[in-house]
Amino acid sequence: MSDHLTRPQIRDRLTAFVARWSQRAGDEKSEAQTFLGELLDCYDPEWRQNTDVRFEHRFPSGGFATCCGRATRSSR
Amino acid sequence: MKSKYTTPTLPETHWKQAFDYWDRSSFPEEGIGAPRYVLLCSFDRFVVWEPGEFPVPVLDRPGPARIDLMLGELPERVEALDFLRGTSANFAVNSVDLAERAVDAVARLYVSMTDRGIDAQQARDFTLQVTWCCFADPSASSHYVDFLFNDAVVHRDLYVAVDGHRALLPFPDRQFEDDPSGQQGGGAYHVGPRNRRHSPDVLEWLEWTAYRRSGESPRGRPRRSSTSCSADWQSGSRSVPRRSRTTTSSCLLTTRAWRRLLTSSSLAGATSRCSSRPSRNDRRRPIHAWQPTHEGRRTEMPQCEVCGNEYDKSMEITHAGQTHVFDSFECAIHALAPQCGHCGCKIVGHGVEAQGSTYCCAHCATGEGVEGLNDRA
Repeated sequence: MSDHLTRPQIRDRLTAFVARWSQRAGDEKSEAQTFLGELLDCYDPEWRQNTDVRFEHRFPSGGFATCCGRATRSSR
Repeated sequence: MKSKYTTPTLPETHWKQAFDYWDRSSFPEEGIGAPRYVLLCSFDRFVVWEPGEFPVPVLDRPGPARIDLMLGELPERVEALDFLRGTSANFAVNSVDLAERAVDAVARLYVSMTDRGIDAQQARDFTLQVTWCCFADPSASSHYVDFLFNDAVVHRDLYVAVDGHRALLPFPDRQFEDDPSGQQGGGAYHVGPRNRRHSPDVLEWLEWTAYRRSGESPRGRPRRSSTSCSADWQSGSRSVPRRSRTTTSSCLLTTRAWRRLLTSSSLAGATSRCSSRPSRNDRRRPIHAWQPTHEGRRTEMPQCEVCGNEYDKSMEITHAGQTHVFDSFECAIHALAPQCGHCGCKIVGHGVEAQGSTYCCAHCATGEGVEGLNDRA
C-alpha cells in the first residue's frame, strides 16, 4: 500500500519538475517517455504498478499514442 | 505528445490526431469506453479535453479544451491533471489561499457589522445573502462553497471558476481574468471592474436586490437601510445608527467564533458548529422571506419549474389540464409554447396549423409542403 501524496507534496514535486523541464529540449522522440514518466511520478509514485499505463500504445488500425492509461489508483 | 516547437499551434495542429486515437480506443458494442481525458502536450503546454466515454463523431473539431496551460503554471494548477493519479480532474481553480482570503473577507464583513451595532442575526443573514449573491453570477460556477454549507462554516476547499479562468475574491471588487473569448457575464449579479455600475456600492445594491426579491422594498433607487454596510465596509467607517444589541443567537458562528477564526493561523477551527437551536428571546425579523430557515429549510415560496427560481411573484398557468408554476413568461414559453414544425422556434402568437403540425408562419408551413396558407389576403 502506498501513501498517496498530499496536495502540497504534489505541488513541490511539480515545481521541481517544471524547473527541470524548462531547461530541456523537449524532443518528442527522445524525451517524451521520460517526461511523462516524471510527470506521473509527481502525482503518483506508484503509477508503474498500474499495468494499464502504456507508452507508445499501438492501435490495431495503425498509429501510436504516446501514453495510454486507465484512470485507476495504484493502491487503496 | 509533441515536440516543444509545436507549442504555439499545438491544439490547432494536432487535435485531430489526438481525437483519432481517442475515437479508436473505444468499443461501444463491448461496453469499453474511450479514455475520459485527452491530453495533448508539447513539453511546455498542456491541453486537456474531456470528451466523454463513448465517442461521437468529431467531424470539425472538438469542443473547447477544459484547460490549456503552460508548464510553469502546473504547480498552481495541480488539480487540472489529477486524472494522472486516478481521480477526477478539477479544471477550476482550487486554491486554499483563495478560500482563506474569501473566508477572511466574509468574517471581516460580519464582524464589522456587529461591531457597529447591527443585530447579529441580521448581520448573519446579510453576510450569507451577500456571499450567495456573489456566486449567483451567471458566468460563474462555484462547485463547492462548503464554508457556507448547511448554515455552518465548514472550511474545506473553495472552487471558483469563470469559464475556466480565475475568479479572485474577496468581494465586492471581484475581479476576473480576461476572458479570451471576449464574452462578458453581464448578469444581474455581475460585480467588479467589468460592471462598474454596481461596483461602488455593491453591497448596498445586493441588499436592495435581496429586499426586492422578498417583496419588502420600496420602489426606486436602492436605499440605505439599517443593515446596510455598503459604505467602506472594509474600514468600517460609516454612520449607522448604533442600536442596542439584541440576542446573538445564531446557528452560524458566534461573533466570538468569527474572531477566533480571524485570529487563528489556521482555518481548521472554522469547522466548529454552533447549536442550531434558536434562542428563547430570539425575535429575529427575517430579512428575506426565501432565506433558509433556522432548521435549514426554505420557507414556502413558489418555485419555477423551469429555472428553479423561488419567486413570490410567480404565476400559475393551467395548460391541458395541468397546472404549472413559472417565475416569468420566458420560462412559461420555454416549457409550454409549441415549437414550429419547420424552423423550430417557439410559437408565442397564434401560429398556423396544418396537417397536424403547428408552424409559426405561413412561410414555414409552405416550407413543409403545406399549401394554401398565406400571411396576408
